[in-house]
Amino acid sequence: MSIVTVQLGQCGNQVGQELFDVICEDGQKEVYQGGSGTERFFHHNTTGELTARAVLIDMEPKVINHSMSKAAKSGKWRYGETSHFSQKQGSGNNWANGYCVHGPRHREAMEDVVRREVERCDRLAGVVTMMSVAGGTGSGVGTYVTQCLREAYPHSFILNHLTWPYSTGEVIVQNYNSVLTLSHLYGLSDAVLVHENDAVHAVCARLLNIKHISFGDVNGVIAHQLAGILQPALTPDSYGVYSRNPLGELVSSLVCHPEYKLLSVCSIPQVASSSMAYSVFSWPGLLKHLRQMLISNARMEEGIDWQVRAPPVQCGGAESARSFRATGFNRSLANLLILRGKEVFSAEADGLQEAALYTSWLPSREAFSVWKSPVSFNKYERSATLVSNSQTLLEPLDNMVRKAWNMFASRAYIHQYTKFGISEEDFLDSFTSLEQVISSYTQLG
Amino acid sequence: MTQSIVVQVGQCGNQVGCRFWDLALREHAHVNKEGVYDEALGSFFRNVDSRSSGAGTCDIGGRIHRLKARAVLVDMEEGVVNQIVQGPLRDVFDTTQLLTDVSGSGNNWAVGHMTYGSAYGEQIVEKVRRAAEHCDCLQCFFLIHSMGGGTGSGLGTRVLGLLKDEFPGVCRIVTSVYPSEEDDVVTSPYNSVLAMRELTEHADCVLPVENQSLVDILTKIRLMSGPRIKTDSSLASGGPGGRTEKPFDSMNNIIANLLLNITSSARFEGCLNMDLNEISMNLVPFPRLHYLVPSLTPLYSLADCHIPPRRLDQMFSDAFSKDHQLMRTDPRRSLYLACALMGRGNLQLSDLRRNIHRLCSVPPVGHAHSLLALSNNTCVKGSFVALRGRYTRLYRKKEDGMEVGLFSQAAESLSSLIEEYDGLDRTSSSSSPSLDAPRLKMAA
Amino acid sequence: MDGVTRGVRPGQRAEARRAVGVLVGALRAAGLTSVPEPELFRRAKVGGGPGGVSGPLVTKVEGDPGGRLVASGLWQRGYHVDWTRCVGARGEDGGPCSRDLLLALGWLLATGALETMLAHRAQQLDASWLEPPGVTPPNVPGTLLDRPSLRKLQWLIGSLRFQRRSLLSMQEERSKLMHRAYVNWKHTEKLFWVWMDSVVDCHATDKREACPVDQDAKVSANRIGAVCHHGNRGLERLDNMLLGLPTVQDMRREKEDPRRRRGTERADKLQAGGDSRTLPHMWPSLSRPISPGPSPRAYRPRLQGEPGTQRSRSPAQQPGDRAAPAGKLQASEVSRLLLRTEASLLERRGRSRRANRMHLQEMIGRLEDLVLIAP
Repeated sequence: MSIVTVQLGQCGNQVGQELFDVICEDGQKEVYQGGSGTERFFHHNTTGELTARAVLIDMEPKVINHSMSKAAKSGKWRYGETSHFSQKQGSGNNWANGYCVHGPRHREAMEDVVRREVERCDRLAGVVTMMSVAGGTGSGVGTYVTQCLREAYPHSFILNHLTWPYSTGEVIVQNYNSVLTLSHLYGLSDAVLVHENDAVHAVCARLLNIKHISFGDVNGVIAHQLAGILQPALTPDSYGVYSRNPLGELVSSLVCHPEYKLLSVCSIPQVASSSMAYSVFSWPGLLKHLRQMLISNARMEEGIDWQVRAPPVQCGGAESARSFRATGFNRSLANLLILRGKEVFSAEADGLQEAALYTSWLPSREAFSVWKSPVSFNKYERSATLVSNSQTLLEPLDNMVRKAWNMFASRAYIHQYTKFGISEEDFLDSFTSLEQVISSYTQLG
Repeated sequence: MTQSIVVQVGQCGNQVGCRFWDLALREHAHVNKEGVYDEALGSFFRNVDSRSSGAGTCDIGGRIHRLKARAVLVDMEEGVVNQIVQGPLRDVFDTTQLLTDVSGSGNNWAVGHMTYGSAYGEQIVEKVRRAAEHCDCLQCFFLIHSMGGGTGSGLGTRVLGLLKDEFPGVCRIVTSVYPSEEDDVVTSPYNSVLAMRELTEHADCVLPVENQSLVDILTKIRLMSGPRIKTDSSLASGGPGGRTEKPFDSMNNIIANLLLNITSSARFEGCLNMDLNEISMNLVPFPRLHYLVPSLTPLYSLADCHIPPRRLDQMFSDAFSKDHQLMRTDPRRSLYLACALMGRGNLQLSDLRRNIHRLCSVPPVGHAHSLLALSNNTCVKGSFVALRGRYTRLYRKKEDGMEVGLFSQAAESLSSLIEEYDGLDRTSSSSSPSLDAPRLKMAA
Repeated sequence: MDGVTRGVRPGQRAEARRAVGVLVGALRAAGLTSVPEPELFRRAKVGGGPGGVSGPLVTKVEGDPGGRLVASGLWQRGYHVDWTRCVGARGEDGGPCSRDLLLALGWLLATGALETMLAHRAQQLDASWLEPPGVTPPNVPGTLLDRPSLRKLQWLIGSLRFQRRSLLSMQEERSKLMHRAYVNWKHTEKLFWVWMDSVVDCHATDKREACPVDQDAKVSANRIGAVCHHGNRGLERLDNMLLGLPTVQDMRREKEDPRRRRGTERADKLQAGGDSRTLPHMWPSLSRPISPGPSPRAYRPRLQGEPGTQRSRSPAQQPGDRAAPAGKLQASEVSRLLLRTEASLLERRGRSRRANRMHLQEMIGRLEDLVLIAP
């Protein structure tokens, strides 16, 4: 069962290329039973080369060309010769230009490329789209393409992977683009998996000790975490056979409620290759850290606030949810833990299944799932990835909406959007939707 | 890859444009060792093989035959353009790209705008159209002109309107050189105010450059370094025609450097892609307020290698200082509506994380890195108020026969622009910076 | 030994190999998990060949619970063979050899066993997503529920939706694979039967070596060859061979109380007689009442038709005889309840959204003079 990846815009095309690199590297081990590792993300082209089940879309050719040649140069895998679509001129950081102009204009061509890739799969597990929310093409065309995918494949799982921009200083209109993207995707996507550049940047700086952090480094971390989720694993229902439907399993365990679709990821351990030799990790140690990272809303194992505790179970309800927000407790709706490596079947994850971590209305046995694989992932003997539907993204989302709303209050930049057909009314619709999402997550109790 | 066309109008416009082409060629020669016509070159140059038939334009990836600037040169007198086509840059321009008259506009905006505009408008559009046909994907027009004279100011802004009508989807970035207070052209306040209205209405963004700030910068350089001027630097490259340096050449070189930096990310690859239309998208929150104050760093060491280069961190504060601005107003006392930083050279994401918007990996010739800041800052209002003052003083002594309607409309346009900036300043001073707009509160 | 009758021409060998490969694919698509490799079929033709390679074919087919194709197929049609005795090469000790197994497989295919399996498989796929979900839904309509229960309910609805989608896509894939495999088989079937003929020839030759030629078989073979488009002129010989096998009924009779034997015999006759009325038309060689199994004619055209119809209902069953179990009825009731509740929830959410939207519109109207642009 296969996943088709649709990479959109500069960010999506760069992150996607890194992701396939990691998966290919990891999949070379050929230890996953039934070859589900490579079959899931690759097929063999007519000359037998490993070819990514990916579609590359951008409104300018530079990044696509770069990603394609980088893949070909790896000597291990490549992109399909005709699996891309690009134009000459970008969307100029304007969501409206991507969504209202580029998207509809090239709909047929883009759908064709995706269809070809889908038809190559015996069974489509679903589509993963990768894009940033800040720019114009990834966000605008990406939203439009997601809409088309939803129409064309109504029964397929669609996971949108979004890269959120640095909270300051990437693109001035990034908050508008983000608000428009998120509000639209919320109605289309099955799950919205988010990586924040700020959090990933901190991982690069403090855990991986990278001095001069480049976009490649940031994308590398994102790819590592994504692959940690998407590589084959044994689910509780799969009876010792590697799950063939990772996207279905993922959304079924995390995002069944239509108002809660935001997923965050954290991984442990993440260390620089140079210090690997001095690091010893045990399952109890890793899981203890991961649990505290989750409840204290730490994005990495450094600087965890160990004072934060889960509230007593009996005090549920919205009121207590708010008061515990103040103490730094991060409440979860649902969590998915993925463990990979040595002695994985002896790992006990009870700490993450405590009722106190979850809402009063979804019992923790339904809210918490574990996938396991005895195959070590990447360079780590033991590693854990936690995909979380929790209040983690509440604060960055709230900041995003606040800044956009401030700008909107002064009607700044609105003319740039209206000229492509996005009206003030559309903005208000989007704000309403996201305020609703913020309210839902705030009241998670 | 997209392409841009430079339209240079009037004496000043052509001189600045000429410096730009010279520096751009040097820069590409420095980077492009293979002699291959690549996309970077293609963004501003055509590659023409005179031996082949037809248009003779060669595709990307072939050998460089003869580079032709994607430019249209317009002047209503012959002097400057003649110098250009006889000088070292003669091969870069075809006669078909030139349009001149002999009699000049007599420092009269109306002559340039109305008389010549009507007489030559169609021809100019035709020349632009031909240049556009040579483009694979035309993205941007760079108009270079001055505000004080007759041709650049009058005909230049007429051309701007024509470009908007004929190529509505193509971004229009205008570099406008504003006259000094002591400008020897008496009518310069009139011309400037009349031109301002056109810029406010028809440009996507305007990069205003004050003559006086250029003079200040050069004076400072002279003070810092004595009489010697670094001859190899990009700022002080030889003047047109290879003659001894003329007083305006250094000033024009500064403006040319500004254009060089703006276009660098369009001309070279960087780790972050940059679309020229992203400039107006990000920096113009309100449609009329599209005047972006440029500042450039390094600036002083551009001219003299003996001035020690600034550290990277200093460059960032420099970029926000009055001394490195090409307008004489002080940005720090006013409201930043938006600001973009365009870095070039070996700048790392981590170095620039909080500050940088666009990175281009090719450094300017002779320097490891450089930084260009474009600020949409209400401080620009100061220059406009001063301009309005000079205009008003002159208008009191007005002569007969002037088209009063045109003048009052232009003055009104300027006043309302100033009022818009004022309004923004007022609200920003009345509200604390930490204030947020009230948010929707939802019932639980 | 005569090469022409013993085997196929070298050019046909590749075709036969391909046909066997396609058959293996079709059997796998029909749900058999461990079908032997095509090569084993080829070796089984010569009755095991050197080193007794017939073993794997039998053990593979027999050893796997999903793969008891031949044994269970024969059983269903009323025959029993103890294939476990078929371990050695050429069926020593009087037991069947691997070629017998192959012949039996051929016979089963001719009687439509593959189609039966595919139809059964399609039916399984259908049933799999009609299973009642393993949740206990709240039994109160949405409007009466408290907030947490509503949220839980919405979660459950979402969960069911995802489950349905997973099953749908699984079903789609299997149907697609099944259809593809079956169409492939139909394209190459002829080659397979030509090869099967050569297997039968082998069998006959070996038998001739052992005992006098059966004249009747020869005559009937000619007759069939003239009629059957598959070119399976040896089909009757297959029948003959199978007739030599003990039938299930025989075995049962041996075990049963002698007093009941008479009644059973009558029932068998009736059943067999019923079948004999439908069979001769398509399968002249099966005109003799040999099998109580389901008629192949009914589902053959269905499987070749559009996939939608074949999935919807088991061809072996009549529409009327499908009594829905109590659980399934309950599931449909539950889903109606859920949908109703969800609709009221959505309506409520829409109302609150419209109210929020109006509120926001009013707010923005009051913020005219504010200038706030994020740093």
